[in-house]
Amino acid sequence: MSAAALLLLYAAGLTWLCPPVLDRITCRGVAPRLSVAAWVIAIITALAAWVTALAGVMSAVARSVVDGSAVSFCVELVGGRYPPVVVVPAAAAGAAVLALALTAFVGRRMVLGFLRIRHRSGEYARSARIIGTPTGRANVVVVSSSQPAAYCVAGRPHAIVITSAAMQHLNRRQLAAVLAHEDAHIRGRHHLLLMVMRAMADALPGLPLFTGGVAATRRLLEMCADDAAARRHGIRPLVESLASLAKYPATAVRLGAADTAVAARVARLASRADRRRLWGHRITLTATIGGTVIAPALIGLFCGG
Amino acid sequence: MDRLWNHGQPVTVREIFDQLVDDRQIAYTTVMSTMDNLHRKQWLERDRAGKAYRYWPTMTREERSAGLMRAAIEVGGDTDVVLTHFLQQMSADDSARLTQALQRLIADGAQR
Repeated sequence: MSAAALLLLYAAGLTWLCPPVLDRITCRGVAPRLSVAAWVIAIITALAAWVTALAGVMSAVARSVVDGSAVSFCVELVGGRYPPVVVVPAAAAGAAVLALALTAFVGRRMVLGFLRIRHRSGEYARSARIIGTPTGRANVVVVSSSQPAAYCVAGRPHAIVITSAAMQHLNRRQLAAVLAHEDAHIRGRHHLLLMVMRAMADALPGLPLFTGGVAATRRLLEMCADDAAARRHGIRPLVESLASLAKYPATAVRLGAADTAVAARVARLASRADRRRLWGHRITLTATIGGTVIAPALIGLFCGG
Repeated sequence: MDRLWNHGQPVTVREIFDQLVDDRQIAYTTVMSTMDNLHRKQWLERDRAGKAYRYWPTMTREERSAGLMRAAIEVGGDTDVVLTHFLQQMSADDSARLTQALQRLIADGAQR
């Protein structure tokens, strides 16, 4: 039972304490892909720890119900052994069933949320393809609007939307860079990842690991796409197109908090990290990922049973 | 949809089909089912004229475009649609600050 308790503790730690740490490591956008992996693995590990702990408690409760004995929680920690906490089987069973119901409820919400988001995005992509005028390139449509914008939506098929205003403000090279950026999103299946993470965050509101994870991943995926576009067309047209689109602020739409991410994106494009810093970052990230995964495995190994 | 928007007045499936068949090979039933789908999704309105239906768009292309942009750009426009923006929309202040920073960076890049 002590393993289950520690796993729960670990999941809670990941959920509340991990996001600020990950944010600090990944905010600069050095090695964005590895950074995304760090977030995703932290989330998966937290969920897996919770499910494993729940399974452990369930099996212990089942055993105790069969045996007719009391369930005891022995929390063995470094430096001391605490007297076992004895819980009557009925109470333990009740708690376990409640936890199971809660997990099923949240899981259901995640799946339904994901399906809803996927459906709505697909509808949006279809509408965009009907409304927009097709361009020479597959999946790229131009929608008339005075607001310069470029974005893409996942669907079957996907849609990359460029507004007519954006078309006016970008020259051919810049447009190619923007399209390469959006292409990278589609090829990397970034939308799928964002949809899953968004559905998780919606199903578990207020948990920093999930809400912070979506925001950070969104930011990092933009950087991944920037890198892909810069590899194909160079940094210059990409930065230029960011600059020329940024010149036209939105009018008369409700906007969220100022997005500082754009400044960060440009800064990292302009001053590519030197090799030593890049490797330093990669090692830090890999160590973080390794630690995240190994810790619960150690819990299982040493406290098993 | 393109044809219907360009038409300006209610049209039958036959009329649209006659236009389309000049450009490409398309079956009459394909046109009919497409228009029926669009009607079901409330993109088209229709009334019965004799044996056939006459269709017309419920909204203009401009209205549809505006709706599309609203859902994409505004915060809380449609939170169920996952979009990746090349550049998030921003306020005038942010835009000015960012533009300045970008111009500095571009100038730096040119010197290097």
